[in-house]
Amino acid sequence: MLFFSFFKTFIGKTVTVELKNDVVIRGKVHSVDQYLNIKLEDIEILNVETCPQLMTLKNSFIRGSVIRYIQVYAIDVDCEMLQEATRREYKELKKIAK
Amino acid sequence: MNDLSQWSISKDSNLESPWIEGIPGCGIPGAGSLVEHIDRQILVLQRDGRYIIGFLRSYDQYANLVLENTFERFVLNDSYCDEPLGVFIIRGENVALLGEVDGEKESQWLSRLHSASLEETKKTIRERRRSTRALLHSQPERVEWTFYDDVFFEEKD
Repeated sequence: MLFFSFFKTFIGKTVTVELKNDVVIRGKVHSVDQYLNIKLEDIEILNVETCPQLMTLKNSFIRGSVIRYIQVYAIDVDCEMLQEATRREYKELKKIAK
Repeated sequence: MNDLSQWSISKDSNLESPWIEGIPGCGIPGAGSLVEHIDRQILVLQRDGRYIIGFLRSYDQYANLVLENTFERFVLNDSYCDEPLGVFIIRGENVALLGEVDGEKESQWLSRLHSASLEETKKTIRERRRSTRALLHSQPERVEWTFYDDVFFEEKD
């Protein structure tokens, strides 16, 4: 659940997504769901020569399972907070497991 | 059910996060935000690299899709052709990406291409796919190691 919450903080921010089929898309995150499917707006295909068809799209829904990397601007991430949240999540999970 | 807000980073750290609440599709389980694409013409890029275009009629949380007036679009260099497929159900796992087609951008792009005969284009594309598949499934070249036996044994006359 942590990653879902983490991804939700990118809503409205610009990210670059590389898919497992080597398509690279940059766009503004519109929404995220629990499978980490991502919806992007105002998209731009960075390697358009390999997939010219995608040029015609306005927005795109990317299935979480085909994502290889997501590159975000460092300014959009508070790594310290994320680190704390990760520790907290671990503690919570341990509590549940007991 | 887990309370989704339970783990929210921003909530825990007492930061206000007004952009999360009230965003349509955010937090709805599954492929929530696809509801906006219903009855619109969408382009689906499948995992194998094929492009399917059709009107979205239904979907579920796995991104299984039902499309109407579907066609597959083949693009080859500067020519294209469409193969009509009728009503098409795509199993979610094969979907890589989908998006709404911008009619203006599409017609602008298509005007730069010329339509080709379906048979010819399909044949070429099939051949090309076959050769890439062969390439993908061929065994990677093995690294050959050379062992110098004579390093360990003294040469005999």
